[in-house]
Amino acid sequence: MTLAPARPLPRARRAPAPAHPVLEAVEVEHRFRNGRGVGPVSLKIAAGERVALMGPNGAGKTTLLDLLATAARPRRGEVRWYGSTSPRKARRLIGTAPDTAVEEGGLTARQATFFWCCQWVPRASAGGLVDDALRRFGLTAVADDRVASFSFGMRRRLALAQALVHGPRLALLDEPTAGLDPEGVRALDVALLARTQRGQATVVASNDCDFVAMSCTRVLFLDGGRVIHDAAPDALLAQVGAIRVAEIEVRGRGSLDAVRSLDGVGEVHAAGGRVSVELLDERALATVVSTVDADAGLVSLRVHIPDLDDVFTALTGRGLGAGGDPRPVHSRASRGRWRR
Amino acid sequence: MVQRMASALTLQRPMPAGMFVRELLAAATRPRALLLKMSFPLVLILPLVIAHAPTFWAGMLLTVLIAMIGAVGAGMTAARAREARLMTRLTLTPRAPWRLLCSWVGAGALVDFMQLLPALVVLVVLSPTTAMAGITLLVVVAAVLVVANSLGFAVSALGGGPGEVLLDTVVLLAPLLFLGGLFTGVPATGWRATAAAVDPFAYAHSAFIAALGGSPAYTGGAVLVAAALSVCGGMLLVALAAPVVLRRR
Repeated sequence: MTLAPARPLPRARRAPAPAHPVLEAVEVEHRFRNGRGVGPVSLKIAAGERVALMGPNGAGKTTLLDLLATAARPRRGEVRWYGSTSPRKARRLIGTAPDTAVEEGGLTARQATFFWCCQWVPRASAGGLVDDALRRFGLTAVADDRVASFSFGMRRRLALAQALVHGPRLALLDEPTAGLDPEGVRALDVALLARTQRGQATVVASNDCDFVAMSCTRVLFLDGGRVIHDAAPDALLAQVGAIRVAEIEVRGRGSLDAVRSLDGVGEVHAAGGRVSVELLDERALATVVSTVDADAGLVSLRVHIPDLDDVFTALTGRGLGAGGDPRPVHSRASRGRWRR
Repeated sequence: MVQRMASALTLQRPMPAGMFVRELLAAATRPRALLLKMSFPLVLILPLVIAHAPTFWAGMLLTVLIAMIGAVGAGMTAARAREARLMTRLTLTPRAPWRLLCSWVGAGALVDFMQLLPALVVLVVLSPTTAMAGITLLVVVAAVLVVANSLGFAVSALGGGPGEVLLDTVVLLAPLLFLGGLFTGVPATGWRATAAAVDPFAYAHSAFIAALGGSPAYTGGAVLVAAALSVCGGMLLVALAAPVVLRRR
């Protein structure tokens, strides 16, 4: 299963410049009996935007996505799609991907995608769109295999291909990177970028910080069913600054005074064979590593780079994946592990 | 070469544009299941016909069989589709719910009919009956399958998993079968005669009795009219229940 080489973006299907925002939610509220749910929430999404809904479990991401996708009706407020409040009209413009792997009985990937495409597009033009969507998500080689034989990740790719096959003006994707391999995530990123170039908007509910920072132009933090922050990923990351934390596992016990005295180093904590060094300047990392190695003997190194999870934590005191439990800043294991 | 073969293979595969073809294709991909379902009614019908079982009771058994095949099968299909979130996905398409569900019910009834067809043909061929009674039987069975499938889908809107839907369907079917006079016969007068007159299962029972060579409660003409009305009623039920059936989580 390989991705298709980059192809020139189709010129067709560019959405006309809309008089109304693609989507506008005005004070929408949908609460369940247990008090969970979402609202009141107001938001506007313009053509070409790629918006991420982020928040811990139970924050209301999926409920909000359901409201925007017409799968549920708000108890209060209203949602407008291109200025219309009619869910039936909205469904002509929307494509959705569930957060689960799709089940398609005994159908092949091509047959199943063709079926979903034909719900929006005339049969005559569906064939080409289906081939294009399957190619975009690296499913061409298995297009005539039964979906029942697919792995979870392949079914997730198929769900995304089916959601985007008809070129919806608004795509609503729930946890789109769940189960995807890096190649699949890259294919999704390319597909979303192409949608932006055609003026099509995308909303994803995802706590995948890397994907959101890479692919989305705007982030809505949800907490307790309300939007607590709405900004571009870069602007959000700028709030926590570029401070990195180097977590170093050491062999012996050194004084670490030499590390503390280095330029570009903030706080230094040592406990149980581990040293945590706050890097105010990333260029200090090499000096810190060599100094610690000479002082106490370096065993392994992990560098924590601030991400959207840290931004959320800074705003609420809770992490995105903590299920609402308070946690200290910078406690999450990060990428960039190096072992001697 | 391989690509050519692959494209030829693709061309041969029918592409489903609607729910009706989609369900037929899905059924066709499980030939073993279809074969098993075909043999199940055969093993029930053959002994009844060969042993010349009393026509009233044989007819009752076969009517209960088609009612269960149609309603329980449809209810379970709907419940499984809901669990797989297929219903929600269908709701979010621009297609009218009634259109989607009526196509689905039609496909389900056709698959059920195909599964019963060999057994029905054996019954008609082996029984001392007229060709007209045989044709009437085939028509009314097809109609009752549409009604039973409609009931199965409608009942699935009560929610729950396949197990609960099975129980709900049986709870609904039992009184309908009783009112159709399957267990006691249709009285000549009174409210039960009226109830039986509007119960499609009563006509299926009558058609089976006629096909097996017994004395039916209704004439062939009445059965055919009832079959046509039953299909309309079943489809109307599905069309009305469709938004609830598709939206139920």
